Amino acid sequence: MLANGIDTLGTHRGHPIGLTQRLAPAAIETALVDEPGHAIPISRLPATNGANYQLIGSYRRAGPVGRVATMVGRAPTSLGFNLDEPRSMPPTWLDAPHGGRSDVDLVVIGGGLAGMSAAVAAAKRGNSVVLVERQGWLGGTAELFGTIDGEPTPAESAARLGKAIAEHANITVLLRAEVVLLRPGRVLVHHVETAGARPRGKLLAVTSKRFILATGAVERLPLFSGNRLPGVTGALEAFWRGRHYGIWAGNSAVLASVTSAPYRLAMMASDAGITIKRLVDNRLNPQSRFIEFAKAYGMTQVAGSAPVRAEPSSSRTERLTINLALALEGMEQHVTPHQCDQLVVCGGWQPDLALWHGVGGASHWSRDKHRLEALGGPDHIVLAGAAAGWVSKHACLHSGTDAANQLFSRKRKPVVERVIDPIYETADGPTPVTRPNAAAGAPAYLDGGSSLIGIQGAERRRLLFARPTPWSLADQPQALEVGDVAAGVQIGDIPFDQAGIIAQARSVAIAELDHFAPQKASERPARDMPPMVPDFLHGRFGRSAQLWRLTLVETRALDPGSLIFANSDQTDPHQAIGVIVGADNGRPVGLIRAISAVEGVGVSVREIDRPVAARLAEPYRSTSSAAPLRAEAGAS
Amino acid sequence: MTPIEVDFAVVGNSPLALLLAALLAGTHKQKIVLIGQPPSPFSLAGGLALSVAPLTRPETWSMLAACVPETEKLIAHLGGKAALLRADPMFLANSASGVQALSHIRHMAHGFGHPVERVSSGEVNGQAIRWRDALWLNQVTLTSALLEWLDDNKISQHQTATLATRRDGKGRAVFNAGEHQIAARNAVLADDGAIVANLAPAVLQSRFNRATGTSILTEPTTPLAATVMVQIDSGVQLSQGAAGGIAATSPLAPDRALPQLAGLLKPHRHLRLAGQDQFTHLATRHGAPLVGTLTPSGPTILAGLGLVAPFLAPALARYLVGQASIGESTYFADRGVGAGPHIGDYSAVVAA
Repeated sequence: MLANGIDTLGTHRGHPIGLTQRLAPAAIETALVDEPGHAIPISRLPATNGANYQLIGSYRRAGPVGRVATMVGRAPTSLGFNLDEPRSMPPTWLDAPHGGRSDVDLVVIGGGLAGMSAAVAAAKRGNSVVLVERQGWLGGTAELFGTIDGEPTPAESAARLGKAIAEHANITVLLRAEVVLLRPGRVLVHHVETAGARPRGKLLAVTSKRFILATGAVERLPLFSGNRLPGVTGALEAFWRGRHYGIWAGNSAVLASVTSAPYRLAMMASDAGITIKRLVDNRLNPQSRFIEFAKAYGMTQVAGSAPVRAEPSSSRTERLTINLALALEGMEQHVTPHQCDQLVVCGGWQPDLALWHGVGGASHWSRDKHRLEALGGPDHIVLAGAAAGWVSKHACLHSGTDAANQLFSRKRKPVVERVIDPIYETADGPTPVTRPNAAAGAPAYLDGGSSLIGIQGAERRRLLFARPTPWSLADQPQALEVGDVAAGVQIGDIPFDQAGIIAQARSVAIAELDHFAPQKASERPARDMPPMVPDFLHGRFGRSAQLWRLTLVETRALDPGSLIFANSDQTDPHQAIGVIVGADNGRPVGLIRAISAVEGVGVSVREIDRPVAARLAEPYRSTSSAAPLRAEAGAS
Repeated sequence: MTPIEVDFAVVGNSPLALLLAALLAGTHKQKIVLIGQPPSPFSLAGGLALSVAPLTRPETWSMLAACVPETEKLIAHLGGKAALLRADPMFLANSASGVQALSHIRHMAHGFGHPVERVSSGEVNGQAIRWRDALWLNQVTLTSALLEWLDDNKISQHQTATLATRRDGKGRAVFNAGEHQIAARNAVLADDGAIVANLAPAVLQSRFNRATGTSILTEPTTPLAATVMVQIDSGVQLSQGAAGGIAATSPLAPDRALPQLAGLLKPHRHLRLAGQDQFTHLATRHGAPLVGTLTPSGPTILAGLGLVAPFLAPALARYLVGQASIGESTYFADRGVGAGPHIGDYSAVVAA
């Protein structure tokens, strides 16, 4: 789609939203449209010759004008989804047919370098392993980050581990696979099988005693108005598009970052003929070999700055206008806007703890590193790699091995971070945050995922949309991405000391309640047999209250709970001398206060609509050993 | 160190705790300190607060009949109209004992003039009754308003303080609150969290069953059969916000609560979780409320008051300062430490 110029998913609150891997619809083969469970998220759908797909959800189909425009070469750039509708992109693929169950010694979630090394370490000892990876390839994101001199490159490490995985028949690799549900002891995975003529989505249930979450890190989105317009792309996504699909949007770009890795991307783009107009870095005097290389390419760096607003350009040649601001010691000075086709942004990295939180793992906010970091979690589930907070390739690789050793009770070696001295390689800065002013156009979104929580100019104090004060995130009926929580801390709406608790409660991955439904009918509660006199009637009519059979003067069913009075004038429950507790052999039985329990005495039973005359016939003795008094059955 | 002397230390962060603090300080002119971490506006609620409940004892209905209008007026004054919502809650039951109780509850409520009707069997799974025009506490709004009121009225608040001495030489309970000490003539543990934090484990175990409950929030979905629903025999509570998201709580831990809630909400296909949390809750061992001190020198405990707990605050405040009516005094004294199950309203036996 991107290669064909479609870069817009649809509109949200009247503004276009870019089409990205993290927010994309599902599609279904036209021939299977009556079975929506066969849909597959397009982010995991491989291109297939001759296949005919249609999108799932509420989007605007091209009308006659659109079709004419397409015929004359002005193809639409938007998929036309109305993202204001809560279920505009229903995940019908979660109803995919079941593809079987398996039981293994270890499940590794995440096929980056840490996950790969964990899988190999476990498999070497003869353990069966399932390795789950969302992308169509193994190796993760390490390539974007480069390496330290003297170490193998990330590509070399990935190739070595890939070869080892291929040599171990006890490792099953599931590519294009997404975890739908993770609970201690089991995981449900939606897997796109590509072995046949057409890709097919299946739900696979895998049970295991051990899990390693090597889910990597999500890229933070710098907060500014227009940060999700089409043409604004995360550095990692831009890298993937170029690396795996050879796609780059437009001919010119501005890169805005708080980390050094995107400078590598700038050089790669430049090598591919893209004009890099500015390298914007929110850090004041950032140092990095990549920065030096980029400068040597002739690129202009603007340090201590960040984008404050992006908007569609009025230029006929370039798509976006980027407004930057210098931010020095609390002073904010706007600089000349830049026109470009693409704004590539990187707001730093947040360990992806969504699954971790979902299984009860704890986390806390690191004020030094401006991110949520994992604390303790459930037994037999451990983190590895960037998800565990490791940064360097060396540490990520070793943390994978260490996680496997930990779970299989083998001797462990301390994982050591191997990073370049900060004098030469400036540490990542915090994610830039610029609240939109009243004049700003598009919202500033907290994260690049599916939650679409944004601030607009008029909502300076509150995150979300028109809500009565006091605003409460607890009232917002949507799951939060871990990036939303991190941004919430940075804009001051989430106290930093509560960030971990909030993330654990509100960042719940993609779980649907259906997936927790009981597996077996036997899990339903058994029918109980209530006692003749339930606890809540104990002492109600004195300690010596007696059970009596009643005779009614008319044929009528009586509800349990109908109050019995001495006469029909009384209605105050405090004056009741007893209560109907059920029936036995079709005759009502009442619990009667001892002093009122006289054989043959007339009483009034108060039904909801009117009093019913009755007599106390005789003390009740059970006619059966069980003597169940069925509350739902009346008596006549 | 000279301790800060107060008449009452109210420990807790529930609506009942905050209302008691406001009543004791405002209406009864007591010097109080509130001890408790303010509930995060981001956290999922631990349960509903309603003006009606699965009550089977006439004395409880009488108590509510007097207290609800008073509480309504108080909340409208302190928290504004937004703190109280009106709803037609539905109580459901699936088990035979629950259905039996439901019938008793319906008749008792009717006897006190409450408009309660049976729900047709096609509308819900199991049997159900629907109340008309009950009060439903907006806990987030009320909490925020009460904390603001306490601030405005210079009521001392401490987020963390531990009970150091149950009775000092002057008969006061002494709390350590950071660099300060608080000496209270009376200490009130006003919710489950406060009780767990301040009672010795052995004492706690002797009187209470402690369990982990689960709260979830879902993304918007089709309307529930009622905005507020309580499955009385499982203890599950459901409420649906204006945007369509469902907040649900179960007294069970997540591994059992999530299948339970999934089964209950099965008609709502593709219901995506928007949040999940856990909370600790207590049930008295005898299944009835507990209002009083476990030992002569111990703090006053308020436990097991159920859905209507905040609506009993005015009477509880009077009872605590010795200004309760005879009826109120009798009601709470009957629910003191020596009471047995013969004073309890319907209480589901939920295996934790």
